[in-house]
Amino acid sequence: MKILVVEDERPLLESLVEFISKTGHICEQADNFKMALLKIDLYQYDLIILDVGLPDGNGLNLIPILKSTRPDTGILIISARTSLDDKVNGLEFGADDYLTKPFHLAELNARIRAIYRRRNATGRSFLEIGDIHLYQDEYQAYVQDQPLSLTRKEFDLLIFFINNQNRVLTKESIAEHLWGDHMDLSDSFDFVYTYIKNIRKKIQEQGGKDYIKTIYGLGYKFSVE
Amino acid sequence: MKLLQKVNRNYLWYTAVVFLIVSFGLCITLTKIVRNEVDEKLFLQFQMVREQININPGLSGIDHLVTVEKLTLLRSPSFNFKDTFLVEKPEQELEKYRYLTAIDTLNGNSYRFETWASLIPTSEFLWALLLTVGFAMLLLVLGMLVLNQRIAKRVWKPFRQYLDQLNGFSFEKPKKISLSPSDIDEFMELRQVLESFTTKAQSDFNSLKEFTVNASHEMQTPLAIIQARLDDLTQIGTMDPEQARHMQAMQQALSRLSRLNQTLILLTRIENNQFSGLKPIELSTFITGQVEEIQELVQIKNLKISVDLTEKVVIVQPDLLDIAIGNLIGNCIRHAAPGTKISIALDSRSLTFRNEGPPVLSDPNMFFNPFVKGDTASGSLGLGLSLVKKICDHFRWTIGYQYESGFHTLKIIFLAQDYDRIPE
Repeated sequence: MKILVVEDERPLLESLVEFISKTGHICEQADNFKMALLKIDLYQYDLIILDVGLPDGNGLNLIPILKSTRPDTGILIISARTSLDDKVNGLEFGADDYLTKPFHLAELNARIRAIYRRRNATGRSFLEIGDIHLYQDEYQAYVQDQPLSLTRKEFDLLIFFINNQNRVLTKESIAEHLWGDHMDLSDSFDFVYTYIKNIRKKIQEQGGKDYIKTIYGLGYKFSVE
Repeated sequence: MKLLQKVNRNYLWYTAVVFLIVSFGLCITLTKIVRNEVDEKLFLQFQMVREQININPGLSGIDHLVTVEKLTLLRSPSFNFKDTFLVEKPEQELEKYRYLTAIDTLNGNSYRFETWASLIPTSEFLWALLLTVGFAMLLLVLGMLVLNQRIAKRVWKPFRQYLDQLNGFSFEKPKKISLSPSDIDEFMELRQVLESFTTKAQSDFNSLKEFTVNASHEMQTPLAIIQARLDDLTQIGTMDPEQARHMQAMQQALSRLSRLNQTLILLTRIENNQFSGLKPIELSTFITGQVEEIQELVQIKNLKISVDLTEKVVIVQPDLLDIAIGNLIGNCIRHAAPGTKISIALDSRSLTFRNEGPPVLSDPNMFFNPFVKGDTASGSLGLGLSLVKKICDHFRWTIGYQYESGFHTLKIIFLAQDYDRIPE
């Protein structure tokens, strides 16, 4: 995928570009409104990650321009303002998704994948990894062609792992992915642990390999190697 | 005590004291004057009789008001006035009299003269006088009281109005206070002070609110930078256990800080009334959906959840409702003792969440205040219930907490006008 990141804070921009490049996308950057406008005009992107508060303009104003000239480009808004605030604006303007700062890079990755999947949905959305394959729209997962009976959240979590394979996912990022921003997550880490235990058990019961590794003190990592 | 009462009380005391002093003074001076008057009269009578004896030494034909006795011994002249009591004939009562005894020497003989006069008219006169003065005072006081009352009612009217208006005043409402002018200088001064004071307070309050939101928003980007960099650092494969421990602590603290900041922004936004998009929502479906979401958490904690819902439509902002209900259910799960049952009940008037668990140590009245936790050891932010409370306030619902025989109950009472809203 070809992605343009529009963000005026250099340290964040660098992190985002580095991260997105590492996950196998072509990533370009713009740190102000004018530059973003110029790049949109010149190139075709699959996705634009857009900060709302730019020094020389409101990022939201890019959306109508994109909609008219580049309707195939997905839009993911990242904003310091809470999702309940500009969400209405951003999504009504025609953005695909909205992410409130601060966010986990794994979450950003999950959102990018989701937008990509929605925009390029040709037939069933199919994912295959190791001996697991999944149909995302039907919430169906198979291990060595044996169906896995995963709950909705377990399925979500598995997708989250697969989209972020070979990355260490912290318990915080998993909890926030599963339950969102406004839940009091004081004992959610126990829940995360239980979910992962259940997924492992279900996969192993069907004769699958345990791809989820516990990284001591940090979290979990999904890896087929 | 009311101002008028206080003033009147002081006034009454003063009047009473003045009345006493005046009466006392009147008594003394009048008695003295009357007595002098009587004494003069007695002396005059004595002198008349004396003259008579001087001209005609016989004791016949002397005024019956004076008794004269010829003394056998020669004595030096003297006058002696005194008060005495005599028995009055018709009523056989003791009455006060003024009595003069005089001894004088006339034509070489000593005589004792005795004469007296009643003091009754004097005391009667005094009583009449005191009564009159008392009556006048009373009339004056009563008049003053009535007049004061009337004047006060009129004069203090602007003050009452100011109070009413101040009572209705809220920092959160954009409406400025407007006090009606008065023709009394002091009240005009008060009005001016109140108006400038409230305007100042309002603008200070607003700028403080704005500052809070802006500060929270400004913090989001640095937090995002830290989060992104920390996520990158976490990927380093060669981390030893100690580094991992530090990393974990940082991740946890950062997550806490991020959620804290977001919740504070949300609280302020609700306070600022910055939510629009009211929609009619059927609560029972809404709650059922939320309960399904957390069904697995319920199972993990080995809890049972029972719902008893009747259809109920409320007109609210769905995002806020989502946060409130999510937090209430989350709260139940967090505080329920393992193996117990959570119950959620909804009828046309109220929504109740109930879970079993040990009593909390902190003051239940403080539950809805930010940063108050039932259990200080938990990693909870202590903002969940204050958020719920804020949202309920925003919807103008009432929320209350109760602990009874092992059950924690949180009950929401809907707005009375919504009681009978029928699902369309």
